[in-house]
Amino acid sequence: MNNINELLTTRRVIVCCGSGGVGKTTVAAALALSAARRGRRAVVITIDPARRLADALGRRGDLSNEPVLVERIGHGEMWAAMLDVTSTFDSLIERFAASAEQADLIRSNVFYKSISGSLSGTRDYMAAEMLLRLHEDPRFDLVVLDTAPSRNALDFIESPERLVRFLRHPLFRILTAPSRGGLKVIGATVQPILKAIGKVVGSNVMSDVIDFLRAFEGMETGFAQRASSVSHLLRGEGTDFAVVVAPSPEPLSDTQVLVDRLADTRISPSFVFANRLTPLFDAAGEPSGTSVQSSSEAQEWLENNVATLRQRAKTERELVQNFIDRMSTIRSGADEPPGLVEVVEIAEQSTDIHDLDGIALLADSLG
Amino acid sequence: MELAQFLTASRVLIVAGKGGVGKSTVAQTVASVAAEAGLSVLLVRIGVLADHNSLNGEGPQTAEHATGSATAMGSVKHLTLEPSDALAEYLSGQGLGIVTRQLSSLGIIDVVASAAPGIDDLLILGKIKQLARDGQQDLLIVDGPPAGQALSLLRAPMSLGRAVMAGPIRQQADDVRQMLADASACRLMLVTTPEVTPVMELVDTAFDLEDELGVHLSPIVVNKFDQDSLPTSPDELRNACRSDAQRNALEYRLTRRDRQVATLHELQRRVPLQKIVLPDTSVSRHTGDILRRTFVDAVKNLSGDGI
Repeated sequence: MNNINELLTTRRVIVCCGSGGVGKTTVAAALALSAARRGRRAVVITIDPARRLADALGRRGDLSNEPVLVERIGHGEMWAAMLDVTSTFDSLIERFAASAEQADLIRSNVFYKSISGSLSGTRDYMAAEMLLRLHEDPRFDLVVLDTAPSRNALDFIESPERLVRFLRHPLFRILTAPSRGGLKVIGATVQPILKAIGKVVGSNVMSDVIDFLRAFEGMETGFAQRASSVSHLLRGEGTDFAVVVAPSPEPLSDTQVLVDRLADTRISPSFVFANRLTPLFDAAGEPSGTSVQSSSEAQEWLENNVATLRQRAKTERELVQNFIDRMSTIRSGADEPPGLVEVVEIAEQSTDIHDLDGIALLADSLG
Repeated sequence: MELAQFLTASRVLIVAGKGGVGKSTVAQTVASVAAEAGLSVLLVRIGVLADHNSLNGEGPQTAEHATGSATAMGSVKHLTLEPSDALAEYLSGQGLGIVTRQLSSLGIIDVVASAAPGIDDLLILGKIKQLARDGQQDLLIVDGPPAGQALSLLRAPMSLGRAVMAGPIRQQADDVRQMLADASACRLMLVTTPEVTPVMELVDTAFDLEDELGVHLSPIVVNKFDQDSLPTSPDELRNACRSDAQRNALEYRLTRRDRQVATLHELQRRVPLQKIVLPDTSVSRHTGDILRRTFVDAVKNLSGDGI
């Protein structure tokens, strides 16, 4: 049985995914706060480069890789951190390098410099790394991860395995082979290909890459082990995926694709947070039709306003319902028995959420 | 400003904005306005995850799926470009077809694509530049990726230009950089809704794009603004309420409108560019092609120096 209380009291990892602009970051922060209210020591990580969590917590510019304590509630604690890709990568290199020289060699490589900060695949892998690190950190018993918009959310899940595939790639092995024979030995098949690529992308790129890969020699085992730990953590018992959606067609269909692809990697989210729904304006307690007299312009506008908003609320909930129905179909199509998807409706808040008070309000509405 | 002057100020118009702000809707609106004005338009979508009709049971579009539709005067053609296929396609185009197939089967294309970060992005932009240069269309509208990703897309030529010293990719990077910095070739239209988070992101993005890349920003589109006029003052409306539902719905609407106005002022203060404000069609009493009509009117009200 899924319910939000169980989610917040028993899980060790909650991954929030969804498309951009649906309030994913604030929902992630509200989940961490809600868990802290239940006495847990929760940390929320965002990997979003737009610093949205920093905005949401009203601590702009103050968040980094190192978690900061946002609020203490009884025994519970809420912490927040923001992924710093370069320094996470640097510390991984330090951890797995055989010597300080090897670490220096890698860090000064041109190619490393350009991938460590800017390549989106790197960012995803480092997010996974940071998730694992905070999960192992004894200060926290729950990690809530806010992911980058939908397409990248999946990259994040696949990135550790992709890295392992890359490290085991024959080309990688050839390039990193001890340079006794060097490229001359590989020559026959690979060298013309490398030359061809080099002509197009510039030969210096290829030689930087080869230097970089050679510098990595011996570290691939460490990385592969780390990657498989992440992979296990993501599919483990204590981990749940929550999809955050907003009721408009564009983000919903993007999210649909995300959920389909999640299913391919054998991950099925248990929760859907339907955020920013138009509130329901109940008909209960309304005077009967007879008491409504000749309609002034104001009265007509007011009635029309109620009708418009109700129609909007209805359309939104239908959109979300279609999404949930489709999601359940995918789940029951998988090998595992279909589980229930718990839907948490969150009405649009009366203020834009960009500070801790706003997050507290959102946490209240989560129950 | 004359509509024609606005629409033909540059050959390429890149539309970018955070997810959910209605970027695609705005791109389509500009496309159909341009077509009505007699222009032939190519609407290019980049890296779409899915066709937005997929909720209605239609499958995702394939790469470079081109379709067309003609209006009375001009026309709109649609084209979808997938960044993930860009390198393989480029290599084939360079006369390396056989090698490319080998490279693909060995997975080497992926390795190179990750080795030279941004190469797919650059090739996509290169393709857009080439389409613009071929001159088949009067206007190329690019329905771009979300704002954060737009930044890395548009940065690709610069960062690759630094990493790659020579060769066709370097040439491509230089060409694209030139196009991005040339106001008569390319403009960027940023789209936001009148809400704090997208506005903040737009503020960050706008300055980065202008300072780093010299990209020329067109007026900012503020979408989904609740701008229908009230029949009377808020207090008179409050007094006229006859039920809780009316009262709650009124307060909801009024709070939202106030918040939107405040956010719009904040945007105005932080980014002193002209704005094109479009209505929230989900609450507007106006129907039909209200977006197109409002867009045309807003353009006519722009002052001449802020194309």
